[in-house]
Amino acid sequence: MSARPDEALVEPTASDPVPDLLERTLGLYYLSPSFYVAELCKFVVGTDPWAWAAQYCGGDWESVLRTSDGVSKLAAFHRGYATAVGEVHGAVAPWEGSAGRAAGLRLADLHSALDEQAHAVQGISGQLEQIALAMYELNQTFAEILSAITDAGIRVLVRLASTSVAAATGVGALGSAVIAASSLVDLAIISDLWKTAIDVHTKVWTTVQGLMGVLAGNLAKIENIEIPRLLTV
Amino acid sequence: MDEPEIVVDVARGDAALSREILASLRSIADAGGDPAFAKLVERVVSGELGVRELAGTEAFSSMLDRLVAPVLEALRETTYEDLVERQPDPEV
Repeated sequence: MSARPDEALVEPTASDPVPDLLERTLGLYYLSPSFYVAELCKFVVGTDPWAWAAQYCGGDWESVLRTSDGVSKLAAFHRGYATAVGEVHGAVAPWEGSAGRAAGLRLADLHSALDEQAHAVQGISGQLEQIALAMYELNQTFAEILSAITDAGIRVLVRLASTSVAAATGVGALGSAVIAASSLVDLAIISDLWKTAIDVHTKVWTTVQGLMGVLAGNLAKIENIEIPRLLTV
Repeated sequence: MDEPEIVVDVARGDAALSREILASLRSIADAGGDPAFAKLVERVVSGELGVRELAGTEAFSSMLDRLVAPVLEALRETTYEDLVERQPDPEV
Protein backbone atom coordinates (compact mmCIF):
# COMPACT_ATOMS: atom_id res chain seq x y z
CA MET A 1 0.00 0.00 0.00
CA SER A 2 1.33 3.42 -0.92
CA ALA A 3 1.57 6.34 1.47
CA ARG A 4 -1.71 7.67 2.83
CA PRO A 5 -3.13 10.31 0.43
CA ASP A 6 -3.81 12.73 3.29
CA GLU A 7 -0.10 12.82 4.08
CA ALA A 8 0.11 15.33 1.20
CA LEU A 9 -2.07 17.75 3.13
CA VAL A 10 0.59 19.61 5.10
CA GLU A 11 0.93 23.30 5.89
CA PRO A 12 1.58 25.22 2.64
CA THR A 13 4.62 27.46 2.27
CA ALA A 14 5.73 30.04 -0.29
CA SER A 15 7.85 27.91 -2.62
CA ASP A 16 10.42 30.41 -3.86
CA PRO A 17 12.59 32.60 -1.72
CA VAL A 18 9.89 34.73 -0.18
CA PRO A 19 9.27 37.53 -2.66
CA ASP A 20 9.75 40.98 -1.30
CA LEU A 21 6.73 43.14 -1.46
CA LEU A 22 7.02 46.57 -2.94
CA GLU A 23 7.56 48.09 0.47
CA ARG A 24 10.33 45.74 1.40
CA THR A 25 12.10 46.09 -1.94
CA LEU A 26 11.81 49.83 -1.94
CA GLY A 27 12.63 50.42 1.67
CA LEU A 28 11.09 53.13 3.74
CA TYR A 29 13.11 55.87 2.10
CA TYR A 30 11.88 55.23 -1.41
CA LEU A 31 8.39 54.40 -0.30
CA SER A 32 7.84 57.79 1.24
CA PRO A 33 9.78 60.15 -0.98
CA SER A 34 9.79 63.76 -0.08
CA PHE A 35 6.53 65.51 -0.71
CA TYR A 36 8.35 67.62 -3.26
CA VAL A 37 9.61 64.66 -5.30
CA ALA A 38 6.03 63.46 -5.57
CA GLU A 39 4.83 66.95 -6.50
CA LEU A 40 7.51 67.20 -9.16
CA CYS A 41 6.46 63.85 -10.61
CA LYS A 42 2.83 64.96 -10.66
CA PHE A 43 3.93 67.92 -12.74
CA VAL A 44 5.92 65.77 -15.20
CA VAL A 45 3.79 62.63 -15.54
CA GLY A 46 0.47 63.80 -14.14
CA THR A 47 0.36 61.27 -11.33
CA ASP A 48 2.04 60.37 -8.07
CA PRO A 49 4.05 57.26 -9.07
CA TRP A 50 4.20 55.93 -5.49
CA ALA A 51 0.48 56.15 -4.96
CA TRP A 52 -0.05 54.58 -8.38
CA ALA A 53 2.35 51.72 -7.65
CA ALA A 54 0.73 51.06 -4.28
CA GLN A 55 -2.66 50.85 -5.96
CA TYR A 56 -1.75 48.78 -9.03
CA CYS A 57 1.23 46.67 -7.98
CA GLY A 58 0.76 46.26 -4.26
CA GLY A 59 -0.74 43.17 -2.76
CA ASP A 60 0.15 40.18 -0.69
CA TRP A 61 1.71 38.12 -3.49
CA GLU A 62 3.52 35.98 -0.98
CA SER A 63 0.21 34.68 0.28
CA VAL A 64 -0.86 33.94 -3.32
CA LEU A 65 2.34 31.93 -3.68
CA ARG A 66 1.55 30.12 -0.43
CA THR A 67 -1.95 29.40 -1.70
CA SER A 68 -0.42 27.96 -4.86
CA ASP A 69 1.58 25.56 -2.71
CA GLY A 70 -1.53 24.65 -0.69
CA VAL A 71 -3.47 23.92 -3.89
CA SER A 72 -0.54 21.87 -5.19
CA LYS A 73 -0.72 19.75 -2.02
CA LEU A 74 -4.41 19.30 -2.62
CA ALA A 75 -3.53 18.02 -6.11
CA ALA A 76 -1.00 15.63 -4.57
CA PHE A 77 -3.75 14.40 -2.25
CA HIS A 78 -5.99 13.70 -5.24
CA ARG A 79 -3.17 11.92 -7.05
CA GLY A 80 -2.47 9.84 -3.94
CA TYR A 81 -6.17 9.08 -3.60
CA ALA A 82 -6.31 8.04 -7.27
CA THR A 83 -3.29 5.79 -6.80
CA ALA A 84 -4.84 4.19 -3.72
CA VAL A 85 -8.10 3.60 -5.61
CA GLY A 86 -6.05 2.12 -8.47
CA GLU A 87 -4.46 -0.32 -6.02
CA VAL A 88 -7.82 -1.38 -4.62
CA HIS A 89 -9.04 -1.76 -8.17
CA GLY A 90 -6.11 -4.10 -8.83
CA ALA A 91 -7.05 -6.09 -5.75
CA VAL A 92 -10.65 -6.60 -6.82
CA ALA A 93 -9.79 -7.33 -10.47
CA PRO A 94 -9.80 -11.12 -9.99
CA TRP A 95 -13.32 -10.95 -8.58
CA GLU A 96 -15.88 -12.50 -10.78
CA GLY A 97 -19.60 -12.11 -11.20
CA SER A 98 -21.77 -9.01 -11.41
CA ALA A 99 -20.74 -7.67 -7.99
CA GLY A 100 -17.10 -7.90 -9.07
CA ARG A 101 -17.80 -6.14 -12.36
CA ALA A 102 -19.81 -3.41 -10.62
CA ALA A 103 -17.04 -2.85 -8.11
CA GLY A 104 -14.50 -2.75 -10.94
CA LEU A 105 -16.49 -0.17 -12.91
CA ARG A 106 -17.12 1.96 -9.89
CA LEU A 107 -13.43 2.00 -8.94
CA ALA A 108 -12.38 2.75 -12.51
CA ASP A 109 -14.80 5.72 -12.60
CA LEU A 110 -13.56 6.96 -9.27
CA HIS A 111 -9.95 6.60 -10.35
CA SER A 112 -10.42 8.56 -13.54
CA ALA A 113 -12.46 11.31 -11.84
CA LEU A 114 -9.78 11.72 -9.17
CA ASP A 115 -7.07 11.76 -11.80
CA GLU A 116 -8.87 14.44 -13.77
CA GLN A 117 -9.43 16.45 -10.60
CA ALA A 118 -5.76 16.17 -9.69
CA HIS A 119 -4.76 17.54 -13.10
CA ALA A 120 -7.09 20.54 -12.93
CA VAL A 121 -6.11 21.32 -9.34
CA GLN A 122 -2.42 21.06 -10.22
CA GLY A 123 -3.09 23.45 -13.10
CA ILE A 124 -4.64 25.99 -10.75
CA SER A 125 -1.61 25.76 -8.49
CA GLY A 126 0.66 26.44 -11.47
CA GLN A 127 -1.41 29.42 -12.60
CA LEU A 128 -1.48 30.91 -9.10
CA GLU A 129 2.28 30.53 -8.90
CA GLN A 130 2.81 32.19 -12.26
CA ILE A 131 0.53 35.08 -11.31
CA ALA A 132 2.35 35.61 -8.02
CA LEU A 133 5.77 35.47 -9.68
CA ALA A 134 4.73 37.84 -12.48
CA MET A 135 3.47 40.33 -9.90
CA TYR A 136 6.62 39.84 -7.89
CA GLU A 137 8.78 40.67 -10.92
CA LEU A 138 6.55 43.66 -11.63
CA ASN A 139 7.17 44.84 -8.09
CA GLN A 140 10.92 44.46 -8.56
CA THR A 141 10.83 46.47 -11.78
CA PHE A 142 8.75 49.18 -10.15
CA ALA A 143 11.11 49.31 -7.19
CA GLU A 144 14.04 49.92 -9.53
CA ILE A 145 12.17 52.50 -11.58
CA LEU A 146 10.82 54.34 -8.56
CA SER A 147 14.27 54.53 -7.01
CA ALA A 148 15.70 55.94 -10.25
CA ILE A 149 12.84 58.45 -10.42
CA THR A 150 13.47 59.46 -6.81
CA ASP A 151 17.15 60.09 -7.54
CA ALA A 152 16.31 62.18 -10.62
CA GLY A 153 13.70 64.06 -8.59
CA ILE A 154 16.22 64.87 -5.86
CA ARG A 155 18.69 66.11 -8.51
CA VAL A 156 16.02 68.40 -9.94
CA LEU A 157 15.04 69.74 -6.51
CA VAL A 158 18.66 70.48 -5.59
CA ARG A 159 19.14 72.26 -8.90
CA LEU A 160 15.93 74.25 -8.52
CA ALA A 161 16.97 75.35 -5.04
CA SER A 162 20.40 76.35 -6.24
CA THR A 163 19.00 78.28 -9.22
CA SER A 164 16.56 79.96 -6.91
CA VAL A 165 19.39 81.01 -4.55
CA ALA A 166 21.43 82.34 -7.45
CA ALA A 167 18.63 84.56 -8.67
CA ALA A 168 19.21 87.77 -6.79
CA THR A 169 15.95 89.15 -8.06
CA GLY A 170 13.99 86.36 -6.48
CA VAL A 171 12.02 83.42 -7.69
CA GLY A 172 9.22 85.44 -9.18
CA ALA A 173 11.52 86.87 -11.81
CA LEU A 174 13.00 83.48 -12.65
CA GLY A 175 10.06 82.01 -14.44
CA SER A 176 9.67 78.50 -15.63
CA ALA A 177 12.09 78.89 -18.55
CA VAL A 178 15.13 78.98 -16.26
CA ILE A 179 13.78 76.07 -14.29
CA ALA A 180 13.29 74.02 -17.42
CA ALA A 181 16.71 74.87 -18.78
CA SER A 182 18.47 73.65 -15.65
CA SER A 183 16.63 70.36 -15.36
CA LEU A 184 15.16 69.37 -18.66
CA VAL A 185 17.34 66.27 -18.96
CA ASP A 186 16.32 64.95 -15.54
CA LEU A 187 12.68 65.81 -16.12
CA ALA A 188 12.86 63.80 -19.36
CA ILE A 189 14.43 60.92 -17.42
CA ILE A 190 11.48 60.95 -15.01
CA SER A 191 9.04 61.06 -17.90
CA ASP A 192 10.75 58.20 -19.80
CA LEU A 193 11.13 56.02 -16.71
CA TRP A 194 7.45 56.38 -15.94
CA LYS A 195 6.51 55.49 -19.51
CA THR A 196 8.61 52.34 -19.15
CA ALA A 197 6.89 51.55 -15.86
CA ILE A 198 3.44 51.84 -17.43
CA ASP A 199 4.51 49.70 -20.42
CA VAL A 200 5.85 46.97 -18.16
CA HIS A 201 2.70 47.07 -16.06
CA THR A 202 0.50 46.75 -19.15
CA LYS A 203 2.51 43.77 -20.41
CA VAL A 204 2.52 41.95 -17.08
CA TRP A 205 -1.14 42.68 -16.49
CA THR A 206 -2.05 41.22 -19.88
CA THR A 207 -0.13 38.06 -18.96
CA VAL A 208 -1.82 37.89 -15.56
CA GLN A 209 -5.25 38.28 -17.10
CA GLY A 210 -4.47 35.44 -19.50
CA LEU A 211 -3.43 33.27 -16.56
CA MET A 212 -6.61 34.16 -14.70
CA GLY A 213 -8.60 33.04 -17.74
CA VAL A 214 -6.90 29.63 -17.72
CA LEU A 215 -7.38 29.42 -13.98
CA ALA A 216 -11.08 30.17 -14.31
CA GLY A 217 -11.27 27.39 -16.90
CA ASN A 218 -9.73 24.95 -14.46
CA LEU A 219 -12.13 26.05 -11.73
CA ALA A 220 -15.05 25.38 -14.05
CA LYS A 221 -13.57 21.99 -14.88
CA ILE A 222 -13.36 21.06 -11.20
CA GLU A 223 -16.93 22.09 -10.68
CA ASN A 224 -18.06 19.76 -13.44
CA ILE A 225 -16.06 16.73 -12.40
CA GLU A 226 -18.29 14.38 -10.52
CA ILE A 227 -16.49 12.23 -8.05
CA PRO A 228 -18.51 9.06 -7.47
CA ARG A 229 -19.37 8.58 -3.84
CA LEU A 230 -18.09 5.49 -2.13
CA LEU A 231 -20.87 3.48 -0.63
CA THR A 232 -20.91 3.50 3.12
CA VAL A 233 -20.87 0.12 4.67
CA MET B 1 42.94 67.27 -5.32
CA ASP B 2 44.67 64.35 -3.70
CA GLU B 3 41.59 62.79 -2.16
CA PRO B 4 39.65 60.46 -4.38
CA GLU B 5 36.59 62.17 -5.75
CA ILE B 6 33.34 61.05 -4.22
CA VAL B 7 30.40 60.38 -6.48
CA VAL B 8 27.15 61.11 -4.70
CA ASP B 9 24.51 58.36 -4.64
CA VAL B 10 21.86 60.22 -6.60
CA ALA B 11 24.35 60.75 -9.47
CA ARG B 12 24.34 56.96 -10.01
CA GLY B 13 27.99 56.75 -11.00
CA ASP B 14 28.05 59.86 -13.19
CA ALA B 15 31.03 61.89 -11.93
CA ALA B 16 30.15 65.07 -13.85
CA LEU B 17 26.59 64.95 -12.55
CA SER B 18 27.90 64.36 -9.04
CA ARG B 19 30.15 67.45 -9.26
CA GLU B 20 27.19 69.50 -10.43
CA ILE B 21 24.99 68.31 -7.55
CA LEU B 22 27.75 68.97 -5.00
CA ALA B 23 28.33 72.46 -6.44
CA SER B 24 24.59 73.17 -6.25
CA LEU B 25 24.41 71.94 -2.65
CA ARG B 26 27.43 74.08 -1.73
CA SER B 27 25.89 77.17 -3.31
CA ILE B 28 22.66 76.61 -1.34
CA ALA B 29 24.65 76.13 1.88
CA ASP B 30 26.89 79.15 1.18
CA ALA B 31 23.89 81.40 0.70
CA GLY B 32 23.29 81.02 4.41
CA GLY B 33 19.81 80.74 5.75
CA ASP B 34 20.27 77.51 7.65
CA PRO B 35 23.45 76.48 9.49
CA ALA B 36 22.01 73.01 10.14
CA PHE B 37 21.60 72.45 6.41
CA ALA B 38 25.14 73.75 5.77
CA LYS B 39 26.50 71.24 8.30
CA LEU B 40 24.71 68.39 6.56
CA VAL B 41 26.08 69.51 3.18
CA GLU B 42 29.60 69.43 4.67
CA ARG B 43 29.00 65.81 5.62
CA VAL B 44 27.78 65.08 2.08
CA VAL B 45 30.85 66.74 0.58
CA SER B 46 33.11 64.62 2.80
CA GLY B 47 31.29 61.50 1.67
CA GLU B 48 29.99 60.78 5.14
CA LEU B 49 26.33 61.32 4.24
CA GLY B 50 24.45 60.34 1.10
CA VAL B 51 22.31 62.84 -0.77
CA ARG B 52 19.40 60.39 -0.43
CA GLU B 53 19.80 60.57 3.34
CA LEU B 54 20.14 64.33 3.16
CA ALA B 55 16.90 64.45 1.19
CA GLY B 56 15.17 62.71 4.08
CA THR B 57 16.16 65.29 6.69
CA GLU B 58 14.06 68.05 8.20
CA ALA B 59 16.69 70.58 7.14
CA PHE B 60 16.36 69.54 3.50
CA SER B 61 12.56 69.78 3.67
CA SER B 62 12.62 73.25 5.16
CA MET B 63 15.22 74.32 2.58
CA LEU B 64 12.79 73.15 -0.12
CA ASP B 65 9.95 74.97 1.63
CA ARG B 66 11.97 78.17 1.35
CA LEU B 67 13.51 77.83 -2.08
CA VAL B 68 11.55 75.34 -4.16
CA ALA B 69 7.94 75.63 -3.04
CA PRO B 70 7.51 78.97 -4.86
CA VAL B 71 9.07 77.49 -8.01
CA LEU B 72 6.69 74.52 -8.00
CA GLU B 73 3.85 76.93 -7.35
CA ALA B 74 4.87 78.91 -10.46
CA LEU B 75 5.06 75.67 -12.44
CA ARG B 76 1.36 75.09 -11.86
CA GLU B 77 0.67 77.75 -14.46
CA THR B 78 2.31 75.71 -17.18
CA THR B 79 2.61 72.05 -18.16
CA TYR B 80 5.60 69.81 -18.62
CA GLU B 81 4.80 69.49 -22.34
CA ASP B 82 4.80 73.29 -22.68
CA LEU B 83 8.18 73.51 -21.01
CA VAL B 84 9.67 70.93 -23.33
CA GLU B 85 8.25 72.62 -26.41
CA ARG B 86 9.65 75.98 -25.48
CA GLN B 87 13.14 74.61 -24.95
CA PRO B 88 15.70 73.75 -27.61
CA ASP B 89 16.43 70.02 -27.79
CA PRO B 90 18.81 69.34 -24.88
CA GLU B 91 20.62 66.66 -26.87
CA VAL B 92 21.74 69.11 -29.56
